[in-house]
Amino acid sequence: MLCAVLAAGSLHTRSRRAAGIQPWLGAWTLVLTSVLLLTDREAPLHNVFRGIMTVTFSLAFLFIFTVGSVAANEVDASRGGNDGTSMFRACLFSFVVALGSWIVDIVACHELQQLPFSLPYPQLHAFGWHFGTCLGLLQLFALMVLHQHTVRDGREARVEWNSIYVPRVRIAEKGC
Amino acid sequence: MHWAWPLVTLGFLLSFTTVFYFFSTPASIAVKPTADSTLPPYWGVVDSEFNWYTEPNFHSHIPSPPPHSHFHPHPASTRTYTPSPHSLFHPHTLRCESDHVLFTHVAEPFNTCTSAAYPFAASFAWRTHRPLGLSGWHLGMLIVTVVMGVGSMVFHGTLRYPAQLLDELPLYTMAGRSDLSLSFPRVPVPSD
Repeated sequence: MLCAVLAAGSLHTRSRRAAGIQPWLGAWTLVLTSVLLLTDREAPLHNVFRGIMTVTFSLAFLFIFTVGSVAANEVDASRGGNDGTSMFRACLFSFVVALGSWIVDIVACHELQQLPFSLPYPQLHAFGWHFGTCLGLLQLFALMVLHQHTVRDGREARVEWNSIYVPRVRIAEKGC
Repeated sequence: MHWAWPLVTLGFLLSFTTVFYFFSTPASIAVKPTADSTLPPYWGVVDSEFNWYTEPNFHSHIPSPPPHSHFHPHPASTRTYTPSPHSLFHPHTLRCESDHVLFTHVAEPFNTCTSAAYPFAASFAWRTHRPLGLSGWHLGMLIVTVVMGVGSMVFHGTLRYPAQLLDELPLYTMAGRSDLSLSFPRVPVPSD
């Protein structure tokens, strides 16, 4: 139910120009930052804003991937092929692995300390969360750039993938 | 891909992370001020919300330097931790990465080093996509990524609360900027 409401809200919001939201987002981020930096850590206001930050961050995360899937479909519809969908899938996979690593690292910390064959502690927060989100950000950024370049600016581009599945958006040569 | 797939998948995972992050932090990473205040690490008392700390005597394979040595200035015996009876995973005084074991000045070396990937990634993305003429909006995202990575390094290196905010707030800003960047719908291309 919550997912359905979020999805409807996300797609409805996206159907309008989002430019007007930018100053509001900036103002909100400024207020949040000011409250967290200037209030005492034990103050109720501080904790309320930390709670709001945590919840709205998760909602923002869901929003990114909901509209990201739509943007990927728009890229493919605009230029053909499936680069947009591939980039989005890779990005989603990276973040799922990263989030899964973050959760497993703290939930199963005890078990991970006692792996068989004297295997070392896998440092899932360091290698799963940090590297996973890093890779996911690179893939998400490439998707944003491709969407900007092809769908919104109406130009041509080609996508190259390297060995660790990081896409690079290049300017397409005429006649390609 | 239909938008419902990421929504359901990430919604499931984020329900866990949201609860663990703020509402019920597991003992494996939670720092309780009354419990860990006896820790005397280099950067001061650990006062962040989270600490991937491992009880020193749990890792029998990690050699313990002598007390007050160059590499380990504070005796491990002063480290005490009383898990909160209200925490979700109460029984063990166990965390996930040892503090100040390898280096005096870096609390969590693995987490600190891997945080450096963010500035590198932002630099890579800038160099790769610069010929496309990146917008100020996208450049801003890369700058926020750099700040986020530096904040994460400082946080994991010191485990101080202000440093934690330096990690969290850019991450929050990044999420907001990403939302807006993707929120612009298809713009009709003017015909030539």
